Amino acid sequence: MKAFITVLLAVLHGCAGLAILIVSSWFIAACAVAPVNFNYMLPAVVIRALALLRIGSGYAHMWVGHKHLLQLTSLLRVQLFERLFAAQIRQRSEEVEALASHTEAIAAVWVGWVSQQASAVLMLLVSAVTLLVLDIPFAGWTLALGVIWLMIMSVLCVQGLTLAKTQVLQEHEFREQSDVVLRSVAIWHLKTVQEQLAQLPSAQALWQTETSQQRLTLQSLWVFQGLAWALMLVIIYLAIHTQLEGEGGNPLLLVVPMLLLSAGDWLGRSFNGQPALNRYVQGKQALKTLPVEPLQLTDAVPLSSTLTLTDFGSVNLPEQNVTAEFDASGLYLVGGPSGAGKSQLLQAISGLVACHGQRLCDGNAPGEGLIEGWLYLEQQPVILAATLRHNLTLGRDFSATQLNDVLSKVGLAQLNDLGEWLGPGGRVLSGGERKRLGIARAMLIHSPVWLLDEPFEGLDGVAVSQLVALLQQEAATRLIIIASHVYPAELQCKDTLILSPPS
Amino acid sequence: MKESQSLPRWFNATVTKQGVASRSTLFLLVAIKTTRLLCLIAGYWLFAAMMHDWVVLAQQPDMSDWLGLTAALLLAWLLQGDAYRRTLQAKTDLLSGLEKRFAERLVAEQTSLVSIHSAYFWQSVWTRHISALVHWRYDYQVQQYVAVLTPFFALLFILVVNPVVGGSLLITLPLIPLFMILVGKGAAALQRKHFVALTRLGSLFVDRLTALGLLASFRTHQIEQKILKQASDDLNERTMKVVGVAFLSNTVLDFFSTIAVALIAVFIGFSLLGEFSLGPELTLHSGLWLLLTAPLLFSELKALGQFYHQKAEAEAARDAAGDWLAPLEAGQLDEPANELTEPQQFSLQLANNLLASQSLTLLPGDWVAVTGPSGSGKTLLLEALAGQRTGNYRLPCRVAMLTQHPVLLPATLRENLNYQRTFTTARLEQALSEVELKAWLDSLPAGLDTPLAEVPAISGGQAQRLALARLLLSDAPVWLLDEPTAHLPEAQHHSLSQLIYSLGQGRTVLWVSHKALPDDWFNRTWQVENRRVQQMAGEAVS
Repeated sequence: MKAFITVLLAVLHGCAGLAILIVSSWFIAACAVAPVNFNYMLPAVVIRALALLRIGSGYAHMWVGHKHLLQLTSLLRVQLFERLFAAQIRQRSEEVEALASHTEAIAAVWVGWVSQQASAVLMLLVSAVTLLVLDIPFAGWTLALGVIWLMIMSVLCVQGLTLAKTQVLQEHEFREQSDVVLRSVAIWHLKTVQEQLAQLPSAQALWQTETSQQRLTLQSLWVFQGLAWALMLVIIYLAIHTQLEGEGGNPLLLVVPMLLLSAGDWLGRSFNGQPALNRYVQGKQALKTLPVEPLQLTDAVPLSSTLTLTDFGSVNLPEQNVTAEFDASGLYLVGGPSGAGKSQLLQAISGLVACHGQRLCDGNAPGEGLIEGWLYLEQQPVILAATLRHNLTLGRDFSATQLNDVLSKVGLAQLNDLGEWLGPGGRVLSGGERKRLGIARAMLIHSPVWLLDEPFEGLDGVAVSQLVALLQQEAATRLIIIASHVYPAELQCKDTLILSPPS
Repeated sequence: MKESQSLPRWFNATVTKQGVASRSTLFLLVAIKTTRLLCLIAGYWLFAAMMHDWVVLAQQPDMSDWLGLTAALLLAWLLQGDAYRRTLQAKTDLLSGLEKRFAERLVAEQTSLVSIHSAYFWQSVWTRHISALVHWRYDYQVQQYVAVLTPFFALLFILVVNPVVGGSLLITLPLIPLFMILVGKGAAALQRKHFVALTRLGSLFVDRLTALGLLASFRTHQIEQKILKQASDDLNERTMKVVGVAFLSNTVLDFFSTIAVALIAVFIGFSLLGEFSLGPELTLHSGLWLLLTAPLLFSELKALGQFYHQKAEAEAARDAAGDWLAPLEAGQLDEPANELTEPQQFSLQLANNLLASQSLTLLPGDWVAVTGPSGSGKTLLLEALAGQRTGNYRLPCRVAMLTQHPVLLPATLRENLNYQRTFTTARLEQALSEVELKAWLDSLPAGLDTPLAEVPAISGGQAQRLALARLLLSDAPVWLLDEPTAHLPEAQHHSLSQLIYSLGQGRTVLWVSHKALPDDWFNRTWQVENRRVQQMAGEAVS
């Protein structure tokens, strides 16, 4: 509904602007040849009313349009978020970030493109119909203008969208190419300076397409402007070379030449909407092809004696083949060099990635999927952009005492303001603090299984000792499996499982 | 970043050098666009004259006027096309110029520069920041001049034709910037008031998208969804408060331009009817011309408004990447020599006092142990010697560096070894056997042509040996080793160090290591502490 009001207001704004120009020019022409009883007050009032209408509808269009844009954006985002329930996006983080601009681009098509095109079409239609109905000299020529506009616009849209597709591909290619080059910066110096310059990624192709896109828009506008002026010149030429049949002296003669002379001004904006349309199509495409991977959620299962893995491994590592037994409480270590698949194994145990083989709790199969309460704690736990309280509770009910208690247990007593904002625009936690916060979350929900990925990486000696003591204590009531390639000597494990890289 | 420096000043001081983005291009574009508008004003005069003939005098318009109008419009049209063409060309040139600057800066500073930001950041320098500067330069800046010059000329002509209309426009015109500034200040104040909330709420959506795994593990997806909904409603409400005022700026312009046209039309009409008689006598000719020309006072300013976002984007680009778009100093990219023959004696001094040294001596063939606590500046020292940092000294020859993390390209083993140039298969096999990878090579399905991505995950030790093979293939006379064994278990550290030691004989080696190495491998020790380098006394001279 708001979308239509937005478009309607844009049409009003455009039509009022055009009408002022035409009525004004007719008005002064009429005044110049005014018969004695010419009622000049009415047109003067109409002109002023049109001016107010234009100003008002201009502001209203921006206001309503923007409000609609914001509402639609947030609706699209919430819908997308809903679609991602129990799912993960397998994509690079910047492409996930781009979803914010994609949803906005989809919503912005109303203010950015539809409004302009609708007002262009309606301005053309209204002026053609009005002029024809009022039988104004040369009225038919506005139809020609309309046809020209339509043709140029179609070419612009089709070619513009083709270029936009190329642009997406080129950008993708550029990212792939530059990723490799930037990641190898440590060995650039082995090449000669000239070769180094030559191997650097170049965005020239990307920019060329962008420039073509701009050229297309500018050329469309330019051609349209030229043709509109040409039509106007032809009309005057005809006026010079044909006999006036009582037409001379008619102020309405002015109307069509004025329309054509100023066509570039009142229709020009419609050509500038192309980027908004391109972004809309790209955004739609990105949402459609979003690589969403569903996660299966499994209810909590009792684990009182043993977790047994048989020929078990992550689905991403077909050769991973782990057979092991873990008691329901105690601390276990998974060792091995990097690349051996330690993280994958932990994620497969939790169910965050699919697995092959068998996972039995007390001899029963819990089914596939992410088991409630089994937590995979990554190297750098995710800190939400939210208050400290929300980061701990994740929206569940806990008392301040409970929260402060668990904070001091994990050694984060220095974070005493539960209302403090964490993440961008707030307090930034260190790597060690993040790990502890991750553990605090797990403690609050009494999670029975912790799967810790490289918990000691990046911690100094004191912090490592504190963490070991905490884990050792918590392992009395739960199963803790640690994956680490370097681990402190004081860590006492029930058992150690060494993974070797598949050969 | 110098916040106080305005964008144009910064651009002229930093970018406009050595033939990049010359100001003459900018002024030429301004001149073309302004001339086009003058043509239009002339065209309007002739158009109005013909309308006068046609409507008022009820006679056929003059053919000479028609020819004049055709010429004026044709010229305006051609100038417009030319301005478009030149703008795009200037943009293309500036894009290439800036890309070249940026590439040279990357090559000059290598790891010391690239490692401070993510690959994504550097990619956005190409995809976003450079083009933002270019658009600002050739759209916004050009339009800024045009938006001032056009009203000036238009008003001048209007004053000549009709001082009454011109005078009243002259009085009202300064009100526009005044109101726009007031509105701008109001919007900025609102923006500041809501700034924290807007930033926090604005980032929530992406933040929760990147935490899907966490939300699934804790089963809190629906809770977060509610939060997200509330947050975006709140965000929208606050945003509307800010933009509701900001849009007034646009409306001010719309108000003046619309009212001006309406009032001029009414004034002219009434004058023609003889209701008023102020100033010179009006005809349809001068009246219509005034009606057509008056909007030019505002139209270019409106066009500037459409480019307004470019200014903010260019400022963001300057803040993010501006430092790396300045030209390099002469000689910074000269090809270094392939050998080190002269003894080196130098006192190193890096820019901004990042690192300094007492007088250091380095003879060809020296083995230098570089010691010091972490964070003291050992890596800085190696980067400075390799010429990647701005300082008063760099080694006058090629160097080959080995770091903690070996670089493996997603390509075949052969391509990985041929990184610097193409070697014969025999030479590559020899290098691999020297780094004790011959047996591994023989186990590969396609030998040297096995893509490394398909090789079963190779261990850190193997990867570092591959990197060492690259060093062997390089003819650099100096090796700079930055903790090459830091991430390896003890046993591998010993075997790899021993290998480096035996293969590095005959080269000049500087070796940073936290792990123990035999003293008798080195004839010099440089101690780095707190960003100061000193040569340890009592070293043997080989």
